[in-house]
Amino acid sequence: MIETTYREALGLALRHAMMEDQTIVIIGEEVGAYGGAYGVTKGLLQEFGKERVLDSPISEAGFVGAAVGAAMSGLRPVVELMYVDFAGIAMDQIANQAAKIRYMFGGQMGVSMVLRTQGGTGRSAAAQHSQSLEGWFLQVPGLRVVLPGTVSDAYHLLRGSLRQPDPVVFIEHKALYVQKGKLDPTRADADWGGAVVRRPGEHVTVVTYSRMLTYALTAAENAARHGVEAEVIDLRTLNPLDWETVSTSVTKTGRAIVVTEACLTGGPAAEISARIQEECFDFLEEPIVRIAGEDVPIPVAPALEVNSVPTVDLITEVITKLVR
Amino acid sequence: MAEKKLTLPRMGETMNEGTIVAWLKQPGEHFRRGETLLEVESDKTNVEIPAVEDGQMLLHLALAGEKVAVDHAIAVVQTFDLSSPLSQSAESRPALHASVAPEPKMQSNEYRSAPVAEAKIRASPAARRTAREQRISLPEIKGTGPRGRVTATDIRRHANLSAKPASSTVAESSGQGLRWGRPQSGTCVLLHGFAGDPTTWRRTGEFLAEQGFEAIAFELPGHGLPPVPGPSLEELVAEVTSRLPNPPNGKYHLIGHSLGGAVAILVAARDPGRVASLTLLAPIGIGTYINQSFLDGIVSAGTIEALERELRKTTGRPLSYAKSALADILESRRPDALKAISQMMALDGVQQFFLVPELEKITAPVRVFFGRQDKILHWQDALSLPGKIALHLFDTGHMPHWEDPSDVLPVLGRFPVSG
Repeated sequence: MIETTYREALGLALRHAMMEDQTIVIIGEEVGAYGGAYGVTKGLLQEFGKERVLDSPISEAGFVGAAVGAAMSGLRPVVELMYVDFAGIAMDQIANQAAKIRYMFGGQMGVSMVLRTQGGTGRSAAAQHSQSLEGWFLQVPGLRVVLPGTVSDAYHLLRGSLRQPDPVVFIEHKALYVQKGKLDPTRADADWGGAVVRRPGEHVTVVTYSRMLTYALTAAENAARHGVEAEVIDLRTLNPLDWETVSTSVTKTGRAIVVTEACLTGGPAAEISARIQEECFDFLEEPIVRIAGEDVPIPVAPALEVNSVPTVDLITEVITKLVR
Repeated sequence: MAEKKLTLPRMGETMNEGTIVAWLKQPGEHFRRGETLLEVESDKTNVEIPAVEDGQMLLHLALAGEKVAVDHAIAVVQTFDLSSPLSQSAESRPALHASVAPEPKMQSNEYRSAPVAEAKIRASPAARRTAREQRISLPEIKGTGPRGRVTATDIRRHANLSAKPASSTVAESSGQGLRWGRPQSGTCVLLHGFAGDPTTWRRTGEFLAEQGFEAIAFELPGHGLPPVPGPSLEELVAEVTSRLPNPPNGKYHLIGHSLGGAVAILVAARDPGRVASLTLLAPIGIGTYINQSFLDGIVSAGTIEALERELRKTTGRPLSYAKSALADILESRRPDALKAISQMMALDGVQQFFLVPELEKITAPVRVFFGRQDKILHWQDALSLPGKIALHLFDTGHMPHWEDPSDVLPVLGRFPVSG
């Protein structure tokens, strides 16, 4: 068990995976000499050499496409997209190529690739660098979508993603890189693809992931002071989605709140709450509530940025009001 | 409040006239929004016309069997919804069509078994599932959730109240009646109402048993299978008196509902030494008005549908009844005896006995329970009772103990102490 940060846990996962699996290569902007825009790949160029850690030109379509080709040729690339907001440029490579290859070639080959990227608010990075776009990838069958919310998951979910036979979109949160936490590299909180109950409670289920997990846990502690015990579920992966954990909890509590930083309309919260309604209808005491980002471009002004996504106060209020 | 005329709505492109099949709301009768007012036959279908707002039927302008042109006035009603944009005075005739039934539901000749009101109840999915499992009818439950929503907890609370945790609360058949519990805290005698039977006391009996009481529900003569000729009130009193229990402490609490209330007043007046307290639930004998159309309807009801229609008048909110239960009632009733009792009780909507003088003689504590939505009697009659009588009012119809046990029974179970 070590005390480390989200950023270092990710770097450690890459290092351990690359030591174990010689086919793993890293490609992306500034991943080599600079060590990655957020410092995750620091030191890997020195340790594994320029054959396995490749700095690419500023061409998302080009280097994501190169990674897809590398995966089809037998390598296991980790491609770093500096901001998830840039996915649009590479979307044909991701959605039309990576996600479809196994199907289009009759199962003869897959694309075992991890697209590492980061999203979310928290650094005044403005409208083009602060979005939560996991919903885009959720709409593409063939892609796995992973969003670690803890230091331990940063390590274990990345290690797990590097064992998948299919393309994984691995979305880190830019506000979590400096988060500290405990890591036992020998033991994950749950299998890759499984959700985890981070806090048990009997009155209401809060379903969330990524940074909103931290918010939800704080809100649950606040609500507990009002006598309301919220059960907080960390989904960890949106594809696959662990429905058993969610429905077991909602069946028990009869109330569900879905919290996402991604905006409300047509977002992951809509999909998750629709599924809860389908699976747990007969056990619901209240309508399912979505707490999600506002349907706005993320503002650069810090005060506006903070309030364009769910806050701890808002989540606390909804939890207590829903249960009363 | 506004008086307005109901007109015959157009129920199809080609419809020019319709025949009134039956009026389900008689003059004087109150109705809630959604309740069926009348049935109309047009071409090949029969259509039930629902009320679009709460009100009272004042006058039928067209009688059953009469053929009426579309938009022709068929009744005068009084409505209570002032805010409704559809409210029209009786004078503004042309637009009245809109206030009656914009979209009557077409259906076959059969009445629907599930009442319209069921669909309007706010209940969480979990509550609906729990109610299905417990075989509880949702309208029986008062919702405590947001906007009055019935929650699963409400259902469970309701179910626990009527549950049978110990064998002592299971009813035993005792002659012509039912018995619950053991006489630890006392004994209660329960007298049912007109056309009722001891099973209407099931929840009350179970509740009293849980509170440590023995509860005995008699079947009144004329109700049930043994052929008894229509008894007089005196004969009912004599029969009950002859079967009164002799509990260890010599005293019993007497509880009567409706007609059973009138019987209870006389029994208590003649047996003053042994009555610990008298509780009257929507009793006959303290006022003059009684809903004659209900009495006639319940006496002559020969089909499940007709019986259900009459039973709905007994509750504040219309409840749904299991077809099998209705069939059982039909099978076990004695229409001749009921008719005789009904004629003994009431004539042209006027109660035929006034028992307040007898009530004043009773020294034991007396309580009167009424539902403010009573459609059989006027609860306001209880307001002129002597001041020493405690009056408890509930948000129910004519069957407070049966409609809202979670509110009524805890009050019922706290018997007053004399002196």
